[in-house]
Amino acid sequence: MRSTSARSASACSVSGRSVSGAARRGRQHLCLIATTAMLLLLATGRLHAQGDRHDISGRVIDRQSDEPLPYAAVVLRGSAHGGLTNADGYFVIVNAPAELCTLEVSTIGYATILVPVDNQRASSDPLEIGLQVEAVYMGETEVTAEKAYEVWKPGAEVSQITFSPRQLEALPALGEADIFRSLQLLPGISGVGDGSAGLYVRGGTPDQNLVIYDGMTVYHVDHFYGIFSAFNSEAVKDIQVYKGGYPAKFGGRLSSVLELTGKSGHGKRLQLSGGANLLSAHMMLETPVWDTGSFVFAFRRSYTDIIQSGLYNDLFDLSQKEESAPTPQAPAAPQAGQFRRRGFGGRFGQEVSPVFYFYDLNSKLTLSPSARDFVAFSLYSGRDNQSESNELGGLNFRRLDSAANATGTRTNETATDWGNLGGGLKWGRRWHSRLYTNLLLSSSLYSSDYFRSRGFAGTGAQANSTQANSPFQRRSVYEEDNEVQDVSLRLDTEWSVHADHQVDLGIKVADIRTDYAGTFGDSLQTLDLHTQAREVSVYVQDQWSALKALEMTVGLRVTHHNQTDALYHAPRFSLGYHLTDRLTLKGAWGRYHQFINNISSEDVLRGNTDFWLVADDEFEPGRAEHRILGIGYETSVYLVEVEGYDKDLDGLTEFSRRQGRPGEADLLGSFFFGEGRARGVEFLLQKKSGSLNGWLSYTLGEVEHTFAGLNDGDPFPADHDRRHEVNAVSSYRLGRWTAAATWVFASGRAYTAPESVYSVELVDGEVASFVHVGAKNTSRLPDYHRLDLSLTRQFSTPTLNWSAGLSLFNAYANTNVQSREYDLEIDPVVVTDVTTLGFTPSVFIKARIK
Amino acid sequence: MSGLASRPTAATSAAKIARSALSCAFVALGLSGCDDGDSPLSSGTELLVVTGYLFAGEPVGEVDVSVTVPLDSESEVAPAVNDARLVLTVNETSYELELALGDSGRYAYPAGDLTVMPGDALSLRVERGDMVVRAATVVPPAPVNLTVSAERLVVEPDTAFAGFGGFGRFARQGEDAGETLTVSWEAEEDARYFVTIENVEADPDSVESLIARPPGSFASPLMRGNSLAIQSLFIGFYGTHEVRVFRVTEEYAALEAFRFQNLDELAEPPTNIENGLGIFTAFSSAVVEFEVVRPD
Repeated sequence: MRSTSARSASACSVSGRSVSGAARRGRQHLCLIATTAMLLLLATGRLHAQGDRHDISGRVIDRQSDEPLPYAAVVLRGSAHGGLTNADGYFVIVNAPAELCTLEVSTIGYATILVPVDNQRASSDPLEIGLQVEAVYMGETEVTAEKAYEVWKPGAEVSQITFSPRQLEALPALGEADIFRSLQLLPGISGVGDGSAGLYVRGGTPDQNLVIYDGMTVYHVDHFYGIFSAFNSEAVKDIQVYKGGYPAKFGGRLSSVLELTGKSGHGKRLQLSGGANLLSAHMMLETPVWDTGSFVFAFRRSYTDIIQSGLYNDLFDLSQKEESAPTPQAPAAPQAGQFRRRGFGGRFGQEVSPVFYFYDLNSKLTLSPSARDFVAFSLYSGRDNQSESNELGGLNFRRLDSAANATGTRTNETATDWGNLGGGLKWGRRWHSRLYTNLLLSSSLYSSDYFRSRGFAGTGAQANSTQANSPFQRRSVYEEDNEVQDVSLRLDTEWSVHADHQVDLGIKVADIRTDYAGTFGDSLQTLDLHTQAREVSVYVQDQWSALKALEMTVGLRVTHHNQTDALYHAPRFSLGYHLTDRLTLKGAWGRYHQFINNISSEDVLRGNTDFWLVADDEFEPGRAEHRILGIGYETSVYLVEVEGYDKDLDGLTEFSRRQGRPGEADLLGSFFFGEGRARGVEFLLQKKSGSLNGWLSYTLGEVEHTFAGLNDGDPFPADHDRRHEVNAVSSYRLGRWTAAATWVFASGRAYTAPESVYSVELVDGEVASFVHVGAKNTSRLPDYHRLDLSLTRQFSTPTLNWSAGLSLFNAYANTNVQSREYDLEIDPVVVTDVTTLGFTPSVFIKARIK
Repeated sequence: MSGLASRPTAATSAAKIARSALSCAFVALGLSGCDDGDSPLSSGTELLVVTGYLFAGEPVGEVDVSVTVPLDSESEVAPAVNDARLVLTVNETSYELELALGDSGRYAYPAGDLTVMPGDALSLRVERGDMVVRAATVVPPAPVNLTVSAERLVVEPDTAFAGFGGFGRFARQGEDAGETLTVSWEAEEDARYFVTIENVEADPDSVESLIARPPGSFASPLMRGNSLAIQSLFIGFYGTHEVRVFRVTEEYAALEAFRFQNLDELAEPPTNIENGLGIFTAFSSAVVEFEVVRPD
């Protein structure tokens, strides 16, 4: 039966591309059904429990709040039996020996406990296992088993990581513990710079990450120029990260999955907590509801548009003096959190004064109407608003297409407003100790409005004018509006068929609509695209313990996309083979599709932007194939891992007016389609626990894109290509004090630069002058490196647990360049380095009423 | 329960390694805190810019060679390249071009007797130090069946103020008096042409006019069609005029489409200069004449 199944899966995995023709489609349907049947047969081969074995099932919860704990490890001591709790905290150990057993239950941030279980008689009553939050600094430590992992740990699947938001406070932060910025410290996950909280996972781009918050897909994860992610770490309970090779239950993205589970709130008593730092404040309310549920409401907002903290400005100004940029014009005092900009070549510098704010709120109502049912309604909303303007006087305007010149003032204005709004209604039911279903209806709306205006006003010669000192004015406007509306219904079933098999089945129906409208400069070119698509996906996967030392996950996901009227098959396979108790070989292979494209819009002068478009006949879905192989050596205290990845990407889209067809009104000729390849190897040394813990990682990577219409069809480095990345994270705990340091290094990223001017005499004698732009992405920004330090102290009073800390961001004030901007209409040319924050101290305080 | 005390000895060694590794990472920062401060404008690569137009049936003209100007240069004048070696190959026969004038960057075939014809395959190789650029083109076919609708165009002197309807009067004159000529030819699909009109008299009489009239020559924009109407307004002189219709190559048509660069987009014309910039191309033409006369 096993070999038959293998052959069937192989036949189905011939192609992940779209197919055409009824015959081929029919064959694929048959193939899908056959594979499903094979997997189910395989799974049910030894379905019935043996006479001397019984299932052990139950739920793992937080002992204080009764909150379910997802993805906690529950292991039968002295055997290989065990697994993880599901997203709602339920677990089952199938066919456990009918004897007195001991369960070892652990998860990050909680003390591991040993639970004796009398399994001599079958029982249908689920266990309820409560874990205690580690309170080492309170002197209340209750370690009942070996403790492991402080901040994150490898998950059950290859390239999977379980991350604990609770532990983020231990790491240095820019005022506020941040989930995504902390994830950027993991091997293979890059942030490319301070200007993005988006994650570049193993050569993928942020849009290629499936970010799910309580089942809702989130399309944009930045706050505050990317300094923070869109998620309030106080409101998040668990984070699962799949860096690649992820299983069939996830789909719709090419690179990775980030699954965030929101807190469900304290189920025993009213809890109020809050905190503040120099940029923002947050509060959270948790309360039990009707004895069977809980409610949580969390809100966070920056107050940089209302209050400019004096201490912050003082410290910021102090750091400014350490800069040595040539700035003949007196710079205005920068405001909190802004990027500083520096001119080059001794011409002049410019300072910008942005005004911005952000907020987000998370709310969740959780009810358990019966012992088997679990209902949750989640709401998430986040918004950013930013406007920026500056004026630079005494400049010379130049036109390449005429001899006209003018002197005057350059004015730049930018306004951006973006945000997410999402809601999800989930019903989980435990039909049986081995069968659990989740039905989720979710809606997610992302919208972004961007406006930019550049003007020049002065006196001089207009083109084709003989008057030397006439008023001269020029203004160009650039606007982009983008919206994504995603409504999804999904049903997921977890079926623990046998001790060696857990089968997951599911179906998802999603309606996704995108609207994009762009107006570009004074060229009267507009782009107006509206698309709606429905995708229907089904999946089946089996987590199979084939041998005592071999675990495999085999799965298949099939999606029908109505815009292309095609079926997309995505077979997945992963394995873990325990060579010894400490040495594990891991691998994965899989095909992936993405039905909504995040299109990179090239802007050589001001940095690229991007926008979302649903795939259709013209914008084909993206495709990827992952190949991952790794080996890990783990002791009770240390983990050493080496993992290599090779990822092929296809269906990549770039929008470039620079390389498009001139004079084209609808701009459809400015879209380019290509493929890519990302490969690399990650090295990790982690000290998992103890007073001194942390990790050191190095990633050697390469991301190359090839577009037929760009760069003469030659491969070029992707925007986010970085050859070397090093992360060093260390935390030392002494009593109530925790000191931590992180140091990151990354090779400079690639960008495209205007390089020179040249002239060509036309056949009619006119001379045409052009700015020449260098080959695509052949220039490199300087290497990025930064040291952050933090010191935190925990306090406890009879009514309050609170903590306070100091964080030093960019402690040695390295000038890191986020992007490079050019103003070629000014003579001499202005080049501005958008630098990220220099030395930035920050203090914070957090408190929770007991 | 296993406690920390039960760690294996290997773990103790690993602890030392880990501490050392973490320490090393923090030592490294001491080596990397400096900022080079280089101007990003100085990183551009200097490229050769070649401009070469050859005309079928005429002696090989000049090929200009210059280099790109860095964005932070004080001058926007492209420095001429006078130390390059240029080799023109016509149908597999090579000819070396030489610097025509002192500091012009302008090269020509010294004998002056080399001509190219429609259908000739041309290639150009420019060497300067380590830089080698190449370009290739094919001389396009000349327009065929070039005709003019009349041999004479009557142009009335315009010495009286015509009021605000003056331009209308010119138009009406053209229609009523037949003072419009049409030059036509057989156009190939997707082919581009331009037309020049030139007075070939040694000392022509000008048309008396209150409005500015074109000089003795006129060039049309690039066009796809197969005809051009010549109105009397185009004409500034009496006497014999030569109408020449040029067929252009695709590379020249592409250059014309990018004549004015939008500094917000930075779209550049495509180039057929390999490893460099500019254009190397050829034109073929056909010619016809007509006479511009005063009213009887």
